[in-house]
Amino acid sequence: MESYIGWILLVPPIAVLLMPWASRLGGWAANTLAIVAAGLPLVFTLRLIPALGGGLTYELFGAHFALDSVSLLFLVVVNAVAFACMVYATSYVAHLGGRGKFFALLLIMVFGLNAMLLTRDLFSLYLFLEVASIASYVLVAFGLEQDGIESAVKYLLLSAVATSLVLVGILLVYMTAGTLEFAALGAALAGTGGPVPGLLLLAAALFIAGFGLKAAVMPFHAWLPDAHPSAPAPISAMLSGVVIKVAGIYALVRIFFGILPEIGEVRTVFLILGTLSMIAGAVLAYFQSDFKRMLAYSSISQIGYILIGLGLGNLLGLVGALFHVFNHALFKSLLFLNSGAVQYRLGTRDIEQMGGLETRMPVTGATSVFGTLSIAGVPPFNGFWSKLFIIMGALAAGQTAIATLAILVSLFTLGYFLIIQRKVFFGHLNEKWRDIREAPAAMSLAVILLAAACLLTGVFFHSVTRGIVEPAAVILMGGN
Amino acid sequence: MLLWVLLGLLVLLTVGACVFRDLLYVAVSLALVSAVLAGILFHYGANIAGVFELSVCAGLITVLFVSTVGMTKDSDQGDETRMGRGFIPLVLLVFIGLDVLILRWLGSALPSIVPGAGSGSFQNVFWNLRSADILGQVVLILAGVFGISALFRLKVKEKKHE
Repeated sequence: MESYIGWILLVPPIAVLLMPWASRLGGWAANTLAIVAAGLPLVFTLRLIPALGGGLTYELFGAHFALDSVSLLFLVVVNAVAFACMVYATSYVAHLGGRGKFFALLLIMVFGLNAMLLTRDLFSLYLFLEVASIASYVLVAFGLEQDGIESAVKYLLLSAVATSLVLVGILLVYMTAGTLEFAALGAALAGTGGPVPGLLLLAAALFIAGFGLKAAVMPFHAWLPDAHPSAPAPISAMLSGVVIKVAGIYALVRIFFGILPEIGEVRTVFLILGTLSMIAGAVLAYFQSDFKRMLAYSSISQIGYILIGLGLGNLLGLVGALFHVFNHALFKSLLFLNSGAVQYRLGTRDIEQMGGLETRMPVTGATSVFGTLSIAGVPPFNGFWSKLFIIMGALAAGQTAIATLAILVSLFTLGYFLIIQRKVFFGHLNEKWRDIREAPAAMSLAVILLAAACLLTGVFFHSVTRGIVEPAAVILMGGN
Repeated sequence: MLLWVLLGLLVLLTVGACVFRDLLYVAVSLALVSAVLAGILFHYGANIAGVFELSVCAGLITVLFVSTVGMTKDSDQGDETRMGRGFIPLVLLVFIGLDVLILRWLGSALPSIVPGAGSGSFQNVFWNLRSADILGQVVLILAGVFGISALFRLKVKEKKHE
């Protein structure tokens, strides 16, 4: 079973090396290779769930990788969304050109994220974050349109600031502990009951700012509302659904729940930034007329929920936060792929020009309703349960005001998403779109898979939380 | 004293790379940044890192950069800077002030690096201790190659969706 870890890491880069040859054989060969290369890591990850036990380690070319419940949860998220996006992209990428290059870059992004989740070294985590990020910058600009390139440059510049902050933080940790390996760091930096050294407090602040920027937490969010809408739809789905969580939330979780000693102020910072992001992201989303831009702002709001769950300091909040990571990846990817399908057919993202599309694009319309109900936290969809856990965690922690705000923002989210649904899919069909047809089969299949996952995760939430979420939360509470 | 001169040069050349409008000057400025950085690394006894910085960053990357600029020179000579002339010097002054404050604080507050940290021969560190990073760097190069070929591909003509 340990060898699966190696295959999860190796399959995407091997496929990247084969991609130029596959592309020369034809689109069908590139599509097949891409889907297999995205599907195999998902299969291996799912096979690892029952075998995980107390954790697994694997040595690849002398490099040590390890898997625990926290990594496993995020691996499922990354590879499930990447597989759906790859299926979708096989049709979508036709109008962009450069099919093989697109698949190769997407697979490099997946490799970077998977390696981030499996490494147990802080500097390697930074390096693999850069691998995923460099692929992301190019993919945002892949359409070669002016707004895409401009957004990619903005994304690159702000990410460079983020990674510089992270790098200085890593340097400070190394100067204090003399190692960058997670377990050794945890032991070396374990609290002795005295005050936390000033250098570690500075490192903590740099990590929050650096990874907060990667997670697009307010006030470090400026790049996201430009980068996510301008990117091709499968990349928007990967960025909002997966990248901000692994590059931001996973790194924060690993550092503040496993490496750095207990710093009480960090939880308070998480609560403040989380509440700010949750409210401001939702309010800003309401005022957008660009479909994808609205979804991007809504991602900031949902990241706020996750941060609040992390900041509560109890198991319920942590389970809610991790479950929301899982759920948000599913429903936000679904919604971005839906918006991409609409843009693919209509050629616009302007909500005001749409209307009545449900009759022309029934699959996209129906699955979009699934996504809306999930993100708004309507039972029995998955978003309901994770938000419920976070709200219950807030009440258990005595944070009644935050719990109340979380409920109100959830209702507000339902409100503006219903408005979007009405403006895009329901109401009178705009005459301009009389001849519009449903998105191609591969794109429809991808959104059906994600919509089904949103519903099934909600209906069988107990199995999901027991199987992969709770074990991860327990590890984090134990600080291992 | 030498260190401060090198650090000053580093800041000036970095700013130069940001404000020059001719991409060739930018490339040369970046190459000089790498060369000065290599000097700083030598100053601290990080000789291997210095050699890497000099050969890969100041050498190889500059060659690639200048070649790329040469290929695309005609299309990017436009005057695109819209920022006020006083903006960059102002930002520069603020950053220099912050740098001085932070360096003074770090100088007094930093403990020495933990004894024994990072010990071992270069071969041991490179091939055994940091082998995961080699894997990452190989894929990083792949990302660069595919990224450049993707961004420099011919844009497909707008075609109607079927």
